[in-house]
Amino acid sequence: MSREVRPPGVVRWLIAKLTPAEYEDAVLGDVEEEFVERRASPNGGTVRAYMWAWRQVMNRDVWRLRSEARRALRGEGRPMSVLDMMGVEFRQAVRVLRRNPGYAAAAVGTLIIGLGAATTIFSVLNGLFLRPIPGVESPSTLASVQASEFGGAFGVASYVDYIDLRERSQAFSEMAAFKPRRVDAAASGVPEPVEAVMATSTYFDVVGVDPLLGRFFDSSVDRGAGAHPEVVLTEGLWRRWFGEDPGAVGRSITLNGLSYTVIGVSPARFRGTSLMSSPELFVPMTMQPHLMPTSGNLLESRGWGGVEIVGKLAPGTSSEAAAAEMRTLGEALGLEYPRSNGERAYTAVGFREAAVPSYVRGPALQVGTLLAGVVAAVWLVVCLNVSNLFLARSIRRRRELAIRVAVGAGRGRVVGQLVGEFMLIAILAAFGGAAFAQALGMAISSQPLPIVFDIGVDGRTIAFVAFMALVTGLLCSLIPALTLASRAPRDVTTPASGPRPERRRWPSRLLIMGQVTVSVVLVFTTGLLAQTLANLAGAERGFDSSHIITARFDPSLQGYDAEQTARFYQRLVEETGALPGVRTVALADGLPAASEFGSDGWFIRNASDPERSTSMSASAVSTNFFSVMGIPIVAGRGFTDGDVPGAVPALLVNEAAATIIEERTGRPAVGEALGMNGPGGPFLEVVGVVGDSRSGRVTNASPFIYGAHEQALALGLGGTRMVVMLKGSADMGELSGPLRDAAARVDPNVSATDVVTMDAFLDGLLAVERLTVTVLGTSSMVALGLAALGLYGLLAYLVAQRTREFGIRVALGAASESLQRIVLVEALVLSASGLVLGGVLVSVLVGWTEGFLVGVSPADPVTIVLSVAAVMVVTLVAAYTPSVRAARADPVVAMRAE
Amino acid sequence: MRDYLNDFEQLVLLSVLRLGSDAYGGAIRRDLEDTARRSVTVASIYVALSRLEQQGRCRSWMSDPTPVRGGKAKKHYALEPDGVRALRDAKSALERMWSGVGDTLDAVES
Repeated sequence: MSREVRPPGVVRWLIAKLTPAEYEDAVLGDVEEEFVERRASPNGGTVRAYMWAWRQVMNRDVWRLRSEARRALRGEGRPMSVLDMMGVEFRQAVRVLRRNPGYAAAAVGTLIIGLGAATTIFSVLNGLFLRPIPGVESPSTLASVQASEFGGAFGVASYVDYIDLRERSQAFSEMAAFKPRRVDAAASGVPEPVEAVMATSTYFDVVGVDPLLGRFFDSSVDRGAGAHPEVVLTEGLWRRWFGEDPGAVGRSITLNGLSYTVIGVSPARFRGTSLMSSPELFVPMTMQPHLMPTSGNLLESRGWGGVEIVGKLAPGTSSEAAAAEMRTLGEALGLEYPRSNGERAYTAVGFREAAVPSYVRGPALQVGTLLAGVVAAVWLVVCLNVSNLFLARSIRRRRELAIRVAVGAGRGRVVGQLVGEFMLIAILAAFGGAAFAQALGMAISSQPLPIVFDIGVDGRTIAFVAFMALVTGLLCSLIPALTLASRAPRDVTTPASGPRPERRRWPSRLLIMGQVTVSVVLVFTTGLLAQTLANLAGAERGFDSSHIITARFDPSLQGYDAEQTARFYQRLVEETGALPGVRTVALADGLPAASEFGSDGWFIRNASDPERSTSMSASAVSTNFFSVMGIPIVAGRGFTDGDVPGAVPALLVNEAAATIIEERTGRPAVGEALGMNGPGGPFLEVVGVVGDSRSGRVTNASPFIYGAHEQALALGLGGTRMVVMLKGSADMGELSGPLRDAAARVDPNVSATDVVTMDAFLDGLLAVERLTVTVLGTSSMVALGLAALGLYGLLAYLVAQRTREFGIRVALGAASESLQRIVLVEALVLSASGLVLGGVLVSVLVGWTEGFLVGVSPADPVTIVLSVAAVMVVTLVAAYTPSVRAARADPVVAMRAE
Repeated sequence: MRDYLNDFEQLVLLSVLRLGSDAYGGAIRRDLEDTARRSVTVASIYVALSRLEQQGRCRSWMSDPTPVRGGKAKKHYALEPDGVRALRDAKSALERMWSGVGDTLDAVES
């Protein structure tokens, strides 16, 4: 039997819902009948029939039939259905807004600012913490296994532990280990630095990704260190290097100088499992000894491998159960291998949570909370402002509303009408707000960020903006509407204009005061944070960053040994030193920023408690580093050309480290010695003390140790990955090209990365602070501007109302200055009340802002004076025009009204 | 009450007249489409008919449900004396207006 031919169910349902009961059968029957006929006709009859059926409900006629039928029934007392009422309300709202385009535009525009700002912040936090990782099939069934040592934060794990955990785990049906790593890669020609991920064969299976082309790793790649030079390209790299040629599979590319066979391509959607990097290729984990030549073989050492582990939960297992199992297995490993695992604990955390590591999560949440607070403040000002606008407009319509009540409209209908009108505004603003957030999100994404994430508008964002629009709409309209509706019957007798009974308009005054209050808080906080930023940027760094351009190199990627590395850097210094405009060239392990260096435990030879190690950072530098950076030698000597391999190894320490050494030994630092291998030595001699240096958010110099580059290399204490610093006498920004060329002349296979002037680098350390101040500054400008507009509107209205009174005053001999004063005082009283309330609010929020401040007190008097002055100036500007209008009051005009 | 028919009401009433005992919503809609070349929705037919019924120009009744049309009944319409009068008025108004301008129309067009 063939399927019954009927119009789409939705169409039938809509007809049944929308047509009045007495027409329902007739209309439905007609539509069904004709639909069947139309479908039977040849040449695309089916498509046309469906389009026709839809047209029957998607038009105004259905609604017209409703009101027509209602008109037919009028007099029989049939009440309106909710649907009817909403339809009427909606049409009425559209009509009202069309008649008042200025009001509508002002309200919608203001709301867009509030909703757009809130939505932007929401979409950033959404992208960071909520949005699923693209391309990962079912993230809820995945968990990340993390380790911690000595009770520290949980994070990366060890590869050999992974093998044991995978073998013993029941909670995970499969596990995979992976490790991101930057490599020098080339399809042909000069290699470029590329983000790679070393992964076990199970990786793609666990995350649920299928190859776009070719295949992924088979299980054989998990055995035999260095035996599987295979590579999977991401779709992006495949397109960039092979122009989407399917023949790329089977071809070879070089990674760190060794040839790898392309076995497959991963789909474009998949961009790795972390928000912190976006890998371009994948290689087997077993290639680690080749890709990380200086780190030794992590595949066999139970030591700290820095490997990430992700697992697919066995059916029916919760991530809590998996976490418990990992804890137990971790303890078991600790008992079996007390030397390596004694202080190591394991756990499992949610996959999405692990995509943002804790060192990003913390600061991001902190800044996110601040921004969310700021946006909430702006939103509040917007609501108060629009509420005031709405109130002012509705008051003008009091008579209309009163008459409606008088002729029998229920109060509910009147409130419904006002709220309905406002909801239409809120809906329009929601669309604008979403577009605003999309545009701002795109602007944010185009910035160079260390995080790869989607900010665009998604379902969650739309739900958020819809919810916000609803709340905003109700908040802004419900109270004014209720107030007006309750007063409505009395207002019938009130004339639309002319003399009125005493009207203080205190609701408007309160709303304006609220706006001033929030603006004060924003302006004041901006002031404090701007000073913090200035303090950080202008802080005495202890070194001279001007006229320096820097670049990073890592010749160990090409398999250089210590001697080759030393020769490479010697030649690099010669080549780059010969560039025009370059005076000297220095080398260092990293740029002077706290985040550049890890710290180690150092033992002090003659300390009173020699068993105790002190955590200090260390860097290998060239002998001329201190003169190039302008760091003074405070005591002892600096490095000399005599500090070469073979000579007695020498160390320099900064003042902070020298203070610690002196405290622990009771003797001057110069002449003391430090070691890393334990209280028994060996020790390296401290030959001098240099000045402290600081940067970024760090204001207290941390203890720091410097070793001579070539000695450090020979002793195996680092010095392979170095930053080259070219010092000149003018702006060095233009030298990035020549610098790369010079480096390519030394060895074209060792690529220069992160070529940047030192000033720009230091600037970048304060990027988050700068962004925060910019956002806060913009927000407080917007808030203050809106408050000023609201104040202006209120004063203009009051002056217009009191025209008669002012005229009489003039007639009785009042000077125009005194009239102007009345208005200005009114304005200043409003602002002053807002200021006082704002002051109270600021003092409540002190504890919260304090954490963001550097070198400025949360009750900084200068900032207080400046904020008060700013608000007062804005108040006077807003009040000026209305006050002048008051001063020009004409007694004749006033009397004529009598 | 408006004492004349607008253009659309006139077409709908004419169709009721033409279709006789077969005058129900769907048939009228098709007649307007086929004969008058007006493409309109089902609902708009009933909007006009509802108004005409209130004006006493036609009457309606529901037929028995039929197995076709999803088992739905048809709403049938027939002219009332007021409807017949209104159609006559409309016709003579049009005829008076048209008398003698046929040649003028041709002249304007050429």
